[in-house]
Amino acid sequence: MDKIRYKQAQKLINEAGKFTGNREVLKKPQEGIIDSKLFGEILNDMMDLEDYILESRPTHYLKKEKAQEFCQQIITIRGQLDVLLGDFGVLEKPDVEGEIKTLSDKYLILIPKSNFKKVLTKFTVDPQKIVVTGVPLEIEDMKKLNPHLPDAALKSIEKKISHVKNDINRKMGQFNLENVLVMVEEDDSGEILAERARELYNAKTVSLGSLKDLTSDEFLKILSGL
Amino acid sequence: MECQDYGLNRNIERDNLNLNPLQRGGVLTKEARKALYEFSDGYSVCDYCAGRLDEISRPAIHHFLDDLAEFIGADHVRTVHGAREGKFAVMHALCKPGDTIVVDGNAHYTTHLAAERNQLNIAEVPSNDYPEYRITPESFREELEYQEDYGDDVSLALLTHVDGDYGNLTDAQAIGKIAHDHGVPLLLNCAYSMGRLPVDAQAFNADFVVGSGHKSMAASGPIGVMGLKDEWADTVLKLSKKHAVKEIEMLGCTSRGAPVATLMASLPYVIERVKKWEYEVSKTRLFVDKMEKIGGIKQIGVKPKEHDLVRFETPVFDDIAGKHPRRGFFLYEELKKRKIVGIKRGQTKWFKCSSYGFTQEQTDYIANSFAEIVEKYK
Repeated sequence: MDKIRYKQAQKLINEAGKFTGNREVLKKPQEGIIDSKLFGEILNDMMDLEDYILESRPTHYLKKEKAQEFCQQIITIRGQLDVLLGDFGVLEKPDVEGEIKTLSDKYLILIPKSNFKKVLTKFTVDPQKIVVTGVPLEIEDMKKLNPHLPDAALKSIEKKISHVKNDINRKMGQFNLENVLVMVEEDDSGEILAERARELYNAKTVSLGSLKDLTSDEFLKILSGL
Repeated sequence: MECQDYGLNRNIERDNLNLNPLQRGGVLTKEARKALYEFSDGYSVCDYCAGRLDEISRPAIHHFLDDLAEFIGADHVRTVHGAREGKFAVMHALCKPGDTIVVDGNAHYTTHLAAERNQLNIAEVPSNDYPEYRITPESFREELEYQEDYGDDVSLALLTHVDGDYGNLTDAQAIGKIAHDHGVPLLLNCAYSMGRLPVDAQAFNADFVVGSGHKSMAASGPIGVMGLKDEWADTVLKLSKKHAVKEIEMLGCTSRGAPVATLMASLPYVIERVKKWEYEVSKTRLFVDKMEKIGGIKQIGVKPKEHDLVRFETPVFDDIAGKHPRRGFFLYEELKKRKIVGIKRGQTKWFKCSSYGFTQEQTDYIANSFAEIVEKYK
């Protein structure tokens, strides 16, 4: 299941579980929008649980391993329900942006296009920790992508590659970063960039169908799973 | 007007082990449970219909039918409301009122009703005697020859692949060949087999096969499957003159919405589960063995078992019932206490049951429970 939901659920449960004299208070519902997609996910996840019921008949006793699986799924569902409630102000919504800021802080993020930089900065990623490559990281890779490029163009790209690499090294030193995250789209140039970054910087790589359509929740899920 | 409480709740499957053989193969997969929710509205599969249910591309019913045809070895497949509707449609397309069809002696009552509704005469192939009740290829041949010599032309032969009384598996391949040798097409009723064990219409020499989604293919009913050879397509899938795209025998469209969606959702699982049929058979044999060891319990039908449906004669429980203050209800009540259901209330002379889909642990629990009940009243 989605790690983000799991983490959100754990966070909420932890908070709810801190009995320091104050009981968890559910606030009065405000107007809001039902997340129908999430609602469907919750129902589907609940239906998955029926298998535990059928397999454990007639006692419904679960051994430890099965019990852990079962409860983990319940916790996930509980987290999802809390998100639904959060949309109506009944529960505090999880601080997605705050978590993104914290989790992304240790990475230098390489991206192929500048328009995706705006998306990331909107999610509260520090713009100084983003490098837009625009080109592959080795000239051979450019030749693979476009074997017919004239020499003059290749020279200019070589220069650009050198700038990008300098930029990467400078920022890693300046911000004391050890981790590189490459986010690319699922196409040839994306694959080549990711592959080379793994080789040069031991980078973690993420390939997506469309970078600009990434949501903050999805990005947090990615960061949480790294 | 205030409607009455219809009591629409059912926890039987969740809380109990249900031994009723007709309940065992229709339990939904989790994928089907989700499809049931998604497609619960009446015409939910019809959003992108251009006039033919079998050609709908969203959801991909046309691809599903291709897969289903491959799965059962048929050239064409249609979903119908149940195996009985499939049998009726085939009879209706092939036969005229007054025609004779040859039917095995263990046939389901719906075979008789379908024939009756089509005004057909039934020539019955008898099974052998107690305790086997086996339908043999030889008896089929004899009946076909008898009809040739003394009776009428036979329009169709219908064989029950696995019957619902004894769970006997018939030799479809041999009987299909005999029917063909006599120039008679064979309709194979696979309500208790398609979706549980491998069914290959072509290998069985069957011109038609019908199956039951709700009985053996992990689908919510009512839904069945009708498969046929290409040579019968023009006859059985004949189009209406007035409504050019509609198939007459299907009355246009058959099962829509949740039934077909759940059948579709379960198909990948069903394709895999028939591969484990040998395991189910060996589990059943072990179960029969344990039950018979209790004493006063005897399996009826062909031995060793070749199908999960088991019929037991149970004089041991009938003897107890004779002395018990709750009479015949004692067995049902003792089982219920142990969260086992599916044996009819008051029934102690004999019963049918199945452990299909249960784990070995659950099956052992069932056998041990019967032993425990006998021990209690010894």
